Amino acid sequence: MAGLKIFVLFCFLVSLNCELKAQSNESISVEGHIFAEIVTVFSAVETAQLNFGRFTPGPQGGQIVITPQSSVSVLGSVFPAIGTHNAGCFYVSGDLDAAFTITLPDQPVVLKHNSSGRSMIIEDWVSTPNQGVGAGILQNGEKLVYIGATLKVGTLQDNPVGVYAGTYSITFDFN
Amino acid sequence: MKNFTKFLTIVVIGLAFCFNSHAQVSTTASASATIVTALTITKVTDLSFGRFAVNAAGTVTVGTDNSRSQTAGCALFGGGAVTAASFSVTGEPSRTYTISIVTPVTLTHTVTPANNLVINTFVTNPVSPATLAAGANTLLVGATLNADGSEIAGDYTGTFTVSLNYN
Repeated sequence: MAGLKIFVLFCFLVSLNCELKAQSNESISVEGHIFAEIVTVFSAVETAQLNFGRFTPGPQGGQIVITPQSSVSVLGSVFPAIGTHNAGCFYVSGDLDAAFTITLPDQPVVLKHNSSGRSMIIEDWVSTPNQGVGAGILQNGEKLVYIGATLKVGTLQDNPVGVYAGTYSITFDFN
Repeated sequence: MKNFTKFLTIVVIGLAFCFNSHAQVSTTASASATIVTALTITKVTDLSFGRFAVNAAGTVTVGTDNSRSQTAGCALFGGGAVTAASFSVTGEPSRTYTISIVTPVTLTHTVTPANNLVINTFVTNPVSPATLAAGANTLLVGATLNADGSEIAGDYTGTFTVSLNYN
């Protein structure tokens, strides 16, 4: 009787072994790993408008230059008046230590008089950090970008008293 | 009479066994067995979607040619590896096999596991069923992950299982 039990057990083990061998030959699996990284959404918000301040055009006209550091200088027959002026400023945020490229307007931007339709143009845009590939770095995931430019001012006849306003586009490229 | 009948019966049965043993014949039969090369698969490269931003619901796809694309809601960024997964497959030359990958697969944020990305679609090159032309294949696997727009920034990881079956 004991011999019969051993025989039955032996047969079972043999059959099990055959089954396992067949399985290993016919199918096989392997595991792969997957990785993805989501980075912080990049954003740019204007925190200060570019403002050339108050001034009076002279008989020949001239230029007002604002640097990214908000210092102002006047060329030609333009006379500054009391008031505020400042460089444009953008708060740029995103991935930690990410590099980005600033692209400033490459065409003159027009400022329109609020009622007469007269205009002035802005050109010679500059920024801090400088524009150029990868010139900006988001230290701690953020950066303030300051914008300066030169305003071309005509004569008082060309540019009557009033408020002149316009918009400009600046691109921050994170690729 | 009764005893005679019993005796006769025993004799007949005994003779029957005797005749039976003398009637045994022998013949030969064929037996064959074929040992096939076992199917093996080894991972060579993991699947990596690289770096991207999620603004809203969207998808990021890595093709088997290591290309990457996205739909609205996701923005692709450089600075990270973008690779299809690759596996080395060996087995019986000219034999076909089926490739299967169980979906969905979830990628979990490494710090905040409640955040995850889901993969519902995998693509392979070669497609299933594939043929082990010379007994070896490189199996490439790409996929499309889905973001619902609520994911936070950070690293996401997960695993997927590739199963092969001889046809």
